[in-house]
Amino acid sequence: MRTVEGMSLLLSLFLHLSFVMILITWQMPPKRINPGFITVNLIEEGSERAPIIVNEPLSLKSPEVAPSLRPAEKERVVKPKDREIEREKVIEEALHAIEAKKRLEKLARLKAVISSTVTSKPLHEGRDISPPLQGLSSQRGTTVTSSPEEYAGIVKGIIQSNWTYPEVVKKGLKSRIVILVQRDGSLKITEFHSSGDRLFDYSVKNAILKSSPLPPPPEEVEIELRFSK
Amino acid sequence: MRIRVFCILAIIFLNLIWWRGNSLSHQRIYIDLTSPNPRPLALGLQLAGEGPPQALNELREVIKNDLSYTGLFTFVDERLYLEPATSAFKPENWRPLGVDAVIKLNLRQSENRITVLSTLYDVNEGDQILKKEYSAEVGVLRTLAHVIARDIYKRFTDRDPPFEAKILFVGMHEGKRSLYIMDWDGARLRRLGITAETIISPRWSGKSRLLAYTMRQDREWLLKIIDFDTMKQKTVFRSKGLTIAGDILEKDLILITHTEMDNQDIYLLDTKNSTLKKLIGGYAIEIDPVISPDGKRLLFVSDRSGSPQIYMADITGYNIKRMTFRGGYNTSPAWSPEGDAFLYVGSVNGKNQIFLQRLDSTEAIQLTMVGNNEEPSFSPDGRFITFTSDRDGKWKIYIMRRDGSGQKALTAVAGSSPVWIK
Repeated sequence: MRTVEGMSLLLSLFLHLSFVMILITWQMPPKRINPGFITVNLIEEGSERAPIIVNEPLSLKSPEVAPSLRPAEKERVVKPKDREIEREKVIEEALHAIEAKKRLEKLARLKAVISSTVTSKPLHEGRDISPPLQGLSSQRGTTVTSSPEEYAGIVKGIIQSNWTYPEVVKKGLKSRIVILVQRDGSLKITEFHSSGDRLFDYSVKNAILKSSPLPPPPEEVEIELRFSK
Repeated sequence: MRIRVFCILAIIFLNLIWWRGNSLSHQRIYIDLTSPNPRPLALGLQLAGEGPPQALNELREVIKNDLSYTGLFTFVDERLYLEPATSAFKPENWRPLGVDAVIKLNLRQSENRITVLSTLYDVNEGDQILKKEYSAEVGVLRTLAHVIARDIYKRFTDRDPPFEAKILFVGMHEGKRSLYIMDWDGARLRRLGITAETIISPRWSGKSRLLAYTMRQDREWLLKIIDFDTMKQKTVFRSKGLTIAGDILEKDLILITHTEMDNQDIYLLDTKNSTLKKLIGGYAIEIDPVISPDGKRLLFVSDRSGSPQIYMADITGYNIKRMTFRGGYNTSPAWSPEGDAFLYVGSVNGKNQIFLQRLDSTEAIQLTMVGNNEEPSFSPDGRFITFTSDRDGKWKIYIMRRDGSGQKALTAVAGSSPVWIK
């Protein structure tokens, strides 16, 4: 009896402890924070706010209106056949553009590998990293890399090449984004810390979206991207 | 027995912890990115529906011009579009073109009214991010276009652009001076019914919606105020000696440059009680007072050091501090709307140029290079600067971005003293 009692006590203890440990180690499901895009649906606005009419009550002399409207541009007449040829041309140009972009991305990745200045803090330092997984390479057709540093270099190159921001002058903006890259290279944003500047947030989010999917990592990896300008 | 069971369980337990720890905590890599490619956002613009072709063109051109002049946006050549204007938005039609967002305008016309449904799509998200309907008479389609452009700009930046602001300046009319007003893009130029031998120094106060200006008529200097809400004007001061409107402090208080005993000093004019109080004066010349956006300080020009330089003082006239040290001729100060910087005109190799200087610095950035450039004034959002230049032979009104880029003439006619009205 005492053995059974002892067993059940142990089992209970074990289950409780396991429960507590699972609770401790369990990671909260990644929460996606949208950087504040608000969609305004069909708001009627008094858009024809009367332009400032300055001349009426003042008119010591009758106001003059200078002709300011540009003459309408002549409409281009395109024959249907020409249009088709033009469309084909356009598609061809677009295809060329895609190819050129791919080449550029590849180049950027290579460059990044060569000159990577990434700080990497793997959780299990010194631990062996599983050998490259074959047959998992994504649409980008890149071979899987072997070290986190190398992978970080590649990711940095890709995101850097996709990151554009139109303002040269403004400085002191910072935005921190955490992404989770799955083994197939697909990514999701798990944390988004706004810079406070909407345009800057938009630019960094775009850089990440344009870079998806990333080349497949050696294993599922979390990347903290720190954008600053 | 108990000990053995305990040991087995403990091993299983520890294994479990190790396994969970291993599988759940991902490696975290840190990447720092510091230098984005300085490229504007690429937009696509498509119009569909009905309306007079001229009106459609105007709508398209105004929206494109407003947004691209900010320097933040660029428009991808329409001939490259894969998606017909009437088709539904599909992100894969735009990604190959490198387009970031697409504006689709759908027009309906009933008699003299045009209704525009404007939808903005984010290509990278593949989502609709703005949808609004506007309506206006065909005659004011330009204003409507500015409003549509404003909403798109605001959606991306959360800032107010000056697309609906006006620019007022002094121009010529039948050999005399006259006040003109136009849109921020130079369109819809109109003349106000005010003409005189000389009109100088118009000054706008957005807070009280008053315009002060100075007129010379019959050998007298007249200080006039126009109330833009009632569109009535009155003379608030007249003098034989040179008197120039400086800046409007509040409804009945104006800073002016006034001459007494052949010396110009800065005075505070109370227009309600018609009293004049000297604020900054002495043996030197003190002119051109401009009040900071928070109303606490002012910048002015003084030659107390031997040459004209910009000085700053409290609004009470005390705590005077010299601001410019570069060159021997610095005039025409103008505050930035944030109050953290100012513009002024300085002489470089005998030509006047516009400089931008931060309040906490003595270094200034030269923004103009060609010809003479004077009378700078910030747009209400602080991102654009109007000024006058003689680079093309005659003095005209120009505009540029805050960093000196995108300089262009706004008028074909001669003009001076541009100020923003909003």
